[in-house]
Amino acid sequence: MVELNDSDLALQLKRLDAGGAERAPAYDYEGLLRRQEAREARARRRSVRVRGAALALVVALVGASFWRLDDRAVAPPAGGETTVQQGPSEPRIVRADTYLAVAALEDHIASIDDALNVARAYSPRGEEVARLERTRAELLDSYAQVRYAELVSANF
Amino acid sequence: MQRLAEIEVPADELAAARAGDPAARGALFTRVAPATLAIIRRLVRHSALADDLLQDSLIAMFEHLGDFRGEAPFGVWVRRIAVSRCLMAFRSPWHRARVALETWTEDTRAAAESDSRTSDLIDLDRALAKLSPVTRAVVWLYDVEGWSHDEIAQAFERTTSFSKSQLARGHARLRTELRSPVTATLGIPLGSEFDG
Repeated sequence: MVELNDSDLALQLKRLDAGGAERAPAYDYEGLLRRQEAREARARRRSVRVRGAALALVVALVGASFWRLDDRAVAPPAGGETTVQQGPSEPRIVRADTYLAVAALEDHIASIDDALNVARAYSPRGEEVARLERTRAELLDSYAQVRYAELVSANF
Repeated sequence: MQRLAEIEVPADELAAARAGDPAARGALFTRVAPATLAIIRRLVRHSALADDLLQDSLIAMFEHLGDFRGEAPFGVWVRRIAVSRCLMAFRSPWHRARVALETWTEDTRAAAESDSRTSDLIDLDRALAKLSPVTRAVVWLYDVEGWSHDEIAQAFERTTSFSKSQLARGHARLRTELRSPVTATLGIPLGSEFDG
C-alpha cells in the first residue's frame, strides 16, 4: 500500500465525510422538548435529593453531638454502681459517613460550573447565568453546612 | 447531505424562531439537526452520547438564538456550539468512563454498517475509530472542517503546539493502521486524552 502524506489523508477524510450515510436524529423537535423536560425534571429531583440528604446529615450529626453532650452531663446516681455497669461499654455515637453527600454535592457543583461556562460564553448577563449562579450559591451553602457539621462532629 | 457549515437560514424563519414560533423552531430543527448529528457522531462515535449531545447543542442553539449576529452562515455558529459540547463531554470524567466502557461495541457495530463505501474508506473509518477522542476531534476539525490550529487550540483551551502535536500523532496513527488494515481488532482508543 502506498503511504499517504498529510494532504492525501485530509483528502481521504473529506471523501469519508462526503460518503457518510445520513442518519436522522432519534427524535423530532417535539421529542427534543420532551427529552429536555424529562432531563430537567430528573435534575430537579436529584437536586432535591442531594439537599435533603445534606440536611438530614447535618441534623443527624448535630443531634448526635448534642446527644453525646447530654450523655456526659448525666451524673451517675448515688450508689448507682450497677446502673453504671448497665450502661454501654462503648461510646454510643456512630459517626455518619459524609463522603457520599460531599461527593454528590461536589459533582453537582462541577456540573453547574460546566453549565455556567457555556451560559456565560453565549450570554454573559442572561437569565440562565443568574439562575445557575443562584443554584450554585445554594449548593455551596449546603456544602459548607456539611463541612461544618463534620468539623463539629470531629471536635466532640 | 448538506454540510452543517454550509447551512443558511432565511431571515424571516430565523426571526420567527427567535420569537418562539413553534413551527419555525420545528423547521429550524429539521434543517440543522441531521448535519449537527453527523458532526457529533464523527467526534464521539457513540450513538446514545451523540443523541444526548445533539439535545444539548440544539437546546443551547434555541436558547441563544438571540446571540446569533449573522456574521457567518448559521450552520457555522451551530457547529461551534456542537463542537464545544463535544469537547465538554471529553473533559467530563463521567462521560469518559461511560464511553470507554461502551465505545468498542459501538465502533464495531458502526463498522459493520459500512454500506456502499469503498474498502479504503471503510479502513480509514475504522482507523479513525481507533484514535483517542481528542486526537480524532483535532484531526477531523483540522482536515475536514477546515479549522486552523489557533481555532482548535482556542476550543480546547490549549496551545497551538497541542493542536499540532495531536494532529501529527493522529496522522501517524492513521498511517500505521492503514498499513495493516486487519480490522478485526477491538477499537478501544489508546493513548491519554490531553497529553500534548
